[in-house]
Amino acid sequence: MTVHIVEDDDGVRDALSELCRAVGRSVQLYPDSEAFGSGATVEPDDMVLVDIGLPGEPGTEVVRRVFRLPVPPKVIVISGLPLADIHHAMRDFSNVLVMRKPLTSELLALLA
Amino acid sequence: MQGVRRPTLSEARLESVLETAPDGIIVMDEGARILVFNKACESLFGYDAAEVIGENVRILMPQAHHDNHDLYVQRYRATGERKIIGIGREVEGRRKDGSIFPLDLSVGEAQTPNGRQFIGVIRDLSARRETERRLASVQADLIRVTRVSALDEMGSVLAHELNQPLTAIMLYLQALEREVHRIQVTHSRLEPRTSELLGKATREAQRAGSIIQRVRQLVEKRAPERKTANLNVVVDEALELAMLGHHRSVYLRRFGPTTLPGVLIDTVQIQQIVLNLTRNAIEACQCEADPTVTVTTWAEGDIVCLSVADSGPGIPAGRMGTLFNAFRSEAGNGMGIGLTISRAIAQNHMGELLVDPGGDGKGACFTVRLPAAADTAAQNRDSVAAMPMAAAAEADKS
Repeated sequence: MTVHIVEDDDGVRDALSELCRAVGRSVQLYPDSEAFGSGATVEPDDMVLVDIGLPGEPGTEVVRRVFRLPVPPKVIVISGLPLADIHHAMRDFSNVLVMRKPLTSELLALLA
Repeated sequence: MQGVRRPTLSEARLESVLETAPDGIIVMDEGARILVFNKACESLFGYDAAEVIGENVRILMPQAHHDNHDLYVQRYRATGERKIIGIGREVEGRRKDGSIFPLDLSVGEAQTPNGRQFIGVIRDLSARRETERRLASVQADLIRVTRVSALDEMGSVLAHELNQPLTAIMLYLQALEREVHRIQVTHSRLEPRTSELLGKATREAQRAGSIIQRVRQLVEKRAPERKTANLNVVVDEALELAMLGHHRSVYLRRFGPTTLPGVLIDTVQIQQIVLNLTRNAIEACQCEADPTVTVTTWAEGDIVCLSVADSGPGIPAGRMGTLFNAFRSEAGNGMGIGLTISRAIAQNHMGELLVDPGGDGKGACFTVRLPAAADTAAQNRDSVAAMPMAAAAEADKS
């Protein structure tokens, strides 16, 4: 299983990848939605971690792309945006796990 | 002037002009003696013409200008250099009752058979000054409001910007913890110190995270949302924010029963009140010896109360009338706005915000009274209301 991390903040992206590696996951890193769109090969048992506050195409585009796959993998949305903005951005999606930054050990539990 | 002979046509015209002119008109001779003092001058200065005619014009000036005026007149007569004649300027006048007022003075000069005479036209500037003063005050208020909202904005941006590196730190710490765990298992070597230090670092990072969370909750624009909450918890969380930066300078005392009836509130709004009252209390007493802020919660039947008292000098009687006026903050820090908003929030919750001004060695005390929630099972202090998003995440997981 590979964890695909779409996050524009270098520190957060690197820290996420370190945590994933620490629990034995391989990672693919993308600084934005466009890079994910053009370069990602996602398997059904992979996991996609995406920040919705991305520059350029919003993170919700990543979610849309993933959901169009025949067997979509698990998607976790992370965000530091105000709650109201998160609700607004995610209004078209139900059933997507959203985690607010700073991320707690909940994420670790999901990765392990 | 009258009674000697019938006035000529031009004298009659002049008389009429002087009497009906809306501006004050004074004519004086070279010796600065007043010759003419029109109707408008009478109402401007409060003198009857008969009282001032023949007097030195100094009588209409504040004391400080008396000597100067003689010098001005002498200098003009000696040099012919015009400082005011034909130019006009803003000066101060002195009424009969001694009060000083701003006036616009234009001075003209006339050569007459009786020698050189000076004609002063006077316009009262009090009303204009008052308007300018009010305008400046409104502008200052506006700046204050803008600053308050700019601070909100900055708090929000700061919280977001700090949140990113903090997120990274917490993730790194979790990764490091896993790494240490792996080393311990694979090499059968215990690293108790490393684990302990990591645990401490993680706890501190989480503490920073919860402060950011609270700042963010307070400053984020959002729809109000009512839920039953434990006032003790709500107050304690807000106090943590309010005391930031004041732990060493101000002593905080917190009293309250372990259980309180629940209140149906918008927790963020009520926390705004607590934050505001506590910040005001800190400001009021921090220059005193042993500055102390006392925050108490209690229940009175169906009412749940919260009071914030300070050890400051109390609120002067003169300020009580305008205390809740949004735009009368003598402290200059938006206190008035804060109190107005606080009272509005309390009233929106069917409650009230009361003030005991203190004084005579007693500090001020503000009390918020809120009705207990209808389904009021006493809530104890440990039942921390879950963050909405964490709750959503929990729900999604299950």
